[in-house]
Amino acid sequence: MANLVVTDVCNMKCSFCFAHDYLRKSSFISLEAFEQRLDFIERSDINEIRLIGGEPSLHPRFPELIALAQQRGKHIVVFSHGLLSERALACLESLPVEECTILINMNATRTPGQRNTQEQHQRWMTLRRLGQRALLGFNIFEANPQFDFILPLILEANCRRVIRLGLAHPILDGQNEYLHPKQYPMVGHKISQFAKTAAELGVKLELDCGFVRCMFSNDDMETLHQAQADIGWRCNPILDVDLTEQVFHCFPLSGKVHRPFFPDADARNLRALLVEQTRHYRMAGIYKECSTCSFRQRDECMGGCLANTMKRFQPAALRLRVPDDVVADWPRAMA
Amino acid sequence: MSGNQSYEVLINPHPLYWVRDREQILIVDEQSQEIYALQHVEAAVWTWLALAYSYAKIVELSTAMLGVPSAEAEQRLQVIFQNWQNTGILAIEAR
Repeated sequence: MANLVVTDVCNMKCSFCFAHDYLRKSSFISLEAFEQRLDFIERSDINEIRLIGGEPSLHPRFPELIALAQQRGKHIVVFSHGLLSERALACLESLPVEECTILINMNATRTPGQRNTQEQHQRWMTLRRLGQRALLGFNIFEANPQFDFILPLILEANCRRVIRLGLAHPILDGQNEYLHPKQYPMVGHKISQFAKTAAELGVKLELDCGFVRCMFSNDDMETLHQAQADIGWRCNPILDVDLTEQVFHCFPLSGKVHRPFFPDADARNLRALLVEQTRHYRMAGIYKECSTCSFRQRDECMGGCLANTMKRFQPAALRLRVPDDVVADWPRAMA
Repeated sequence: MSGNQSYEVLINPHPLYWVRDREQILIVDEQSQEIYALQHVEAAVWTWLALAYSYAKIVELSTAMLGVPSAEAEQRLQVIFQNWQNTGILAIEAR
């Protein structure tokens, strides 16, 4: 899997946005560079072309990007806030249902903390037109997430009967609203109850990256299994290929864990390099207990989001005056 | 540790990042791509260093923690410092 950043422009102001620190420019990928990325996807044997941003549909040549992607004969995934221009919507609507997934972020907004009926109406219109092309996603950044409104939308707009739930993760060295790991167990229970309600309506939950096993009680796990929720405990570099010829682990870690993107790069090698770059932090996890946790030891959990884990670390600034006879034979640090 | 005693300064010679876990302290050395897990006395000594306690205070706390005479605690401390110097997480500051 690899995500292709096609723009760093977005017209939303989501408080939880992982790409918040990244969206400071106003760049759009050129068609030439995009084709180079598509070659990379083919060379790496990746079966999906995933467009992310910013908001990909804001690219002035968005229909051309989609046309180029379509020529490669792979499944196209577009990550969008769903408040699309007519031109972009018509372009996506023209894609055959089985050839695309338009992942709509249902809590993207221009007005954080306020109910925005205009946005809700526009998104509703988008969903109706995209129908089965649309897969609805929701980012959890509060302990009491209100995601129940998604179910009737899926049914009424005849969208894919799946909801992708993601935890809002912190940007390392950045500022965004995110769900603190202390709040995970409360959210875990809420998710399990939601999975049950959704399953009764024929809708499945799909959990994105960074979830941890211990946020769900055994009863919650049983409920999730009965609801056939797609549960995973992953935190791996997906590979986000950005506009400045960099590949990063993920947006929360984009400022710290990245590698240059070469024209002849291969996804497997890049992923291995990013894994190696973060290997030493993986011994810890998002909680103090993670490094000695039995779920972890049994490979039933990865210890959660790496950005959350790395945020726990602090720089050492040791400085101790000791009698010189204690350290008489020691070499000195390089000046 | 008399009044005429001269001193050296111990530092971490390159950037290290650390975290306190339930049963250990983990230290990541990004330069060497190594991770160190400190437990028991070592973890306590690291914490005191991070809290910028003086050498005398660290000897005093080690003495209490180990339940041994001060001279023996100081010897144990020196072994710890030397191990850390060997692994590269501690060095004498260059003048």
